[in-house]
Amino acid sequence: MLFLVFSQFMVLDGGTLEEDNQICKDEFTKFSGSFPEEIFSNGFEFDVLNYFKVESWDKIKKSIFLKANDNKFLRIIKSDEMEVYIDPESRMKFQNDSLVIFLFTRYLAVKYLKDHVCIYSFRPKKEIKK
Amino acid sequence: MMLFLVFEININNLNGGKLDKNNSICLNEFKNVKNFILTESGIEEPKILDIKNFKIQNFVFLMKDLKYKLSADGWTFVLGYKNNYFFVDHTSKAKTIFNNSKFDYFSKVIVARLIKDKNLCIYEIELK
Repeated sequence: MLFLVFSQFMVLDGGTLEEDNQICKDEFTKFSGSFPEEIFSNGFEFDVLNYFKVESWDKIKKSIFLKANDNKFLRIIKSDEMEVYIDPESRMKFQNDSLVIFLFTRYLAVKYLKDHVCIYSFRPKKEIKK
Repeated sequence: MMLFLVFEININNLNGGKLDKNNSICLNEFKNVKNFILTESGIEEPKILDIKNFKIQNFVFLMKDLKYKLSADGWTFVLGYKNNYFFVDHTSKAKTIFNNSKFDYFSKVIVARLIKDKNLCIYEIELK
């Protein structure tokens, strides 16, 4: 299943996958603080971290949207700069002292750059067992 | 009682803020919220179900209390993006059609928007 999700975002109409995704890693640090600190305090594990050169914005945006939909992600926000989706099945309850909060733990984020797109699917990093 | 909760944000007091019954600032700001949530054809203009305006006394306490109280009412926090904090009703999944493809979306969301570090406008929104 993990391979299926990974492969789904390796081929997109309107773009070409590029090997070096360092720019995407750098970009991610700029907005990673947007996501709930309660679940991501130990960092992120990426199922997808892909960097595409864009040939057609219309095609690649449509392709991302449809593949996100195929992978059961629901879109929450859409702006000129980025889109964020969540996996509704990843909803979990977190307890902090006596207070309870509900959060999603699996996200898909799409960051638009000048002529590239970064695609990230991530979940909380597992705690390191001692 | 349940029907009442569904159609109104069940929050009239929050630690770190004071409820202001004048919602004009929030109504003026809604165009900036709408930009992030208007999606594809098939979904009409967002409909505001309720608005709450809080004058901020302590933003950290205010957001923390908001998260806990909305969670207690079944809302799920998603993320904060450009001074907008998004919550969804996970039971509100609906379907629409875009480019001949069916897709799911959440039809009920709450967006809390920070305005000039002075006010927090909380909008309950329906997308149909």
